[in-house]
Amino acid sequence: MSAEVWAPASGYHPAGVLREGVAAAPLLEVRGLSQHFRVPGSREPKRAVEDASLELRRGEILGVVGESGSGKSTVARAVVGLYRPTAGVVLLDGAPLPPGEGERSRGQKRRLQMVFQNPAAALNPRRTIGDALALPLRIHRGLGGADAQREIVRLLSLVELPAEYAGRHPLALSGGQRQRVVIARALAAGPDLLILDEPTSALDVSVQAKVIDLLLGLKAQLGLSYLFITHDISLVRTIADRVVVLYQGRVQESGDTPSVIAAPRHPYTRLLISAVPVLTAAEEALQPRMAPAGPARVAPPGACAAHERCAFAPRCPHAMDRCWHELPRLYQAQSGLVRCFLYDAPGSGSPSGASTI
Amino acid sequence: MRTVAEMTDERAASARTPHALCVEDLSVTFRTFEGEARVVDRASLTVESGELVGVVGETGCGKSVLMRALLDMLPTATSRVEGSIALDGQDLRRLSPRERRARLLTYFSMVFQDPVGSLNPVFTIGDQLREVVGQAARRLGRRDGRAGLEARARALVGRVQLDDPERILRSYPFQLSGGMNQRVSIALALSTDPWLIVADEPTTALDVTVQAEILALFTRLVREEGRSVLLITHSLGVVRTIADRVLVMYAGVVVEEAPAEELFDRPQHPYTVGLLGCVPRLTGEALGPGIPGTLPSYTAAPSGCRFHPRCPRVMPVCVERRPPAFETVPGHRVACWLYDER
Repeated sequence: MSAEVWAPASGYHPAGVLREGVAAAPLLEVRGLSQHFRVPGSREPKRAVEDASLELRRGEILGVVGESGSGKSTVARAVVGLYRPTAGVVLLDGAPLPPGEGERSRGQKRRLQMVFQNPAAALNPRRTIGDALALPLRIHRGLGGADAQREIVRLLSLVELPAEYAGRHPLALSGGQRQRVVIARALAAGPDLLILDEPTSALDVSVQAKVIDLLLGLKAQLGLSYLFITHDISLVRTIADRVVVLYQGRVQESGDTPSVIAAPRHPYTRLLISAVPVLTAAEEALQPRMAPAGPARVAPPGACAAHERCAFAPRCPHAMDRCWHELPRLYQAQSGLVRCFLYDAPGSGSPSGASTI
Repeated sequence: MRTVAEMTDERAASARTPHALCVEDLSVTFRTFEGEARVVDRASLTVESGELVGVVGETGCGKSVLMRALLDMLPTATSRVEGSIALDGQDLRRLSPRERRARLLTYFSMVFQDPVGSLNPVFTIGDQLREVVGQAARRLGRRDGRAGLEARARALVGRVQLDDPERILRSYPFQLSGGMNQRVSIALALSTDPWLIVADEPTTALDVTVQAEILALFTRLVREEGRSVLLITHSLGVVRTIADRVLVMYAGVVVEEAPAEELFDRPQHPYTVGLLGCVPRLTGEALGPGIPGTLPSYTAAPSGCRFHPRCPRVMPVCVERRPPAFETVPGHRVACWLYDER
C-alpha cells in the first residue's frame, strides 16, 4: 500500500527520474502513423497500419500485441525507418525523426536498434559472430582492432555467451544462442531503445524463459527501454508495463497491462484473452467467457469500407448498426483508451459498465 | 445399390465401435554420420475410443518421429523401428506391408501442421476432397457417381463447420485463410471415416483466436462423434484445454503420463515442473529460471535418465540406471527415481 503513496504514475521508473525527470517527453512517440502499400492490380492500397499512435516512456516496456496481419511488425519497421510512412511521424525525446532510415543521422540510428524474430535469417551465415558484432562497433562507435575485440568479448559476456563464440559461425549455434547474438549486435551500437519484433516466437518456452530473463536483466543493467512486439498476450502480461492492442492496423485498446488483462474493454481484446489456452484455474478466472468468434459476417448493404468503420464488426458479438457505418474514435476508459462504440456513453468507462458486455 | 450416404452411416457406426491402440516399448533409431541416434526410446502409449490423448514436448523431443513410426511413415533405409503397435490386440508391425497399409488407411488419418503445404495448390478443394472420398469408396468396393461424391464432399465441408460449402469447393487453397485450410485438412482426414485422427501441431501455424475454433472442432469430433484423437503439440496450454490424457516427452523418452487435470495440478517429473515454470501466465507471475543446459545430442545420449545432466534434483542412481515408469497415483506414471517407493 505504501508504494502507492509515492508512485506518481504507472509509467514511473527510477531510471527515468534520474535522467530526465517525470515531466520529460516520452522517449519514443509515434503519432498518427499510417502505412499503406500498393497492391499490384488493385487501386485500393493495403492499409497495414492506419492512424496508430503510441508512447514509450523511458525505462518502460511497451507491449504491442496483435495477430498476424494486425500491422504490429509494420509499426516496428516504420519506427526504425525501414519503411517511409504514408502519414504520421516518429519522435525521439520529443524531436521528430526523418521518415526514412537513409535520412536519419548516425546518432539517431544508434539510439534505436532492432531485434528481429528469426535470428537465423538476421545473421549472415558466412560471417562469424565476431564479424557481426564488429560492424556496428566500427560504424556507431568508431572502434577497431584490439578495442573492438575487447568490446566483442564484453558484449558476448553481457548476453552470457563464452568469448570463443566470436570465432564461430551462426550455423554452429542453437536458436537461443543466435538470438543472444542478435541482441548483442543491437547493443553494440549503444542504443537507448530496443525494438523487439517477436524476439522469442521462434524459440521453445524453456529457451524463451532464458532469453526473456536476459532481456529483463539487460534492461535494468543498461537502463534500456523496450518496444516489445508479440502475438502472445500472456507474455505481454508477464513483462510489459503498458500494452497496445492492434487489430487490422488500428489501435483498438491501450492501457496499463494489468488493467487491460484484468478488465479488457474492447470486444476484440476480450476475444483474444478468452482464446488463450491457459494452465491454471487462476488464469481461467481472468478469461472472459466467450464462444469462439466463428466465421466473419458479411457486411450489410451500404456498410462503409473496412478502414472507415470498426474493423472488428464482422466478428464482434456486440456489433451494432453504427459499427458498420462509422469509425469509432478512441474513448477514454478508466486507465486506458478503447476504440469501441460501447464506450460512447456517459459512465461507460466504469468497470461495471464493462462487465455487462 | 446403396448410396454413399448410407455407406457412410454404416462406416461411421463401425468407427464408433470400440477399438484400442496399444503401443509398447516403441523405439526408433536413425543411422547418421555420427553414429546411431535413438530418437524415440521405449515409448509406450494407449489410445481408447472417444479419447483425446496429447503428446507434448519441445523441439527435438521425438514427438513427431513417434507419430511417424505409428503411421509407418519413416524412411526404411535409414531408420529402424522396434516394439509393438497393437490395434485391438493385433500387432500391426507383424502384418505384411500391404495388410498394414490397409489397416492404417481404414483406421487412421493425419492432420499436419502446415495446412497450405499439405494441400495441392493446383487443384480446387472440391477436386481434392472428391478424390479421397472416391478412393475411400473404392477401397470399400463401392462405385459412386460424380453426384454421390459431390454430395459427400459437400457434407464433409459442412461437418468441419465451413460456411458456404459451394464456394469452398470451388476455391483453391491460396484463396482461403490458414484456419479455413486447416478445416479443409480435417475434412480430408475425416473423408475415410477414421477411428483415430493423428494431428501433428495442427494449430501451431494459426492465430490464437483461430486456434480456439480448431480446438473446439477437435473436441466436437471426440465428444459427439466418438472419434479418438492423438494430438502432438509443443503447447502445454493446448493439451490442458482439450486432452483427456497427456504424455510429456523429453529427449525421446516419455517422462510422465497422467490425466490432463492431474498432470497440471500435480506435475511430478522435474522436467515437467521446469517446463510449466517457463510458460508465461495471464496472471503475470515472473517466469521461472528456465531449464539449465540444452537438449543432449541423440548420438551421445546421457546414460541412465536422459534428463539427468539438466535435472535440479539429480541423484547418483539417475546417472547409472534408466528409471522405469513409477505409478504414483492410479493413471499417473512418472519415469523418475524420485518416485521409487521401494
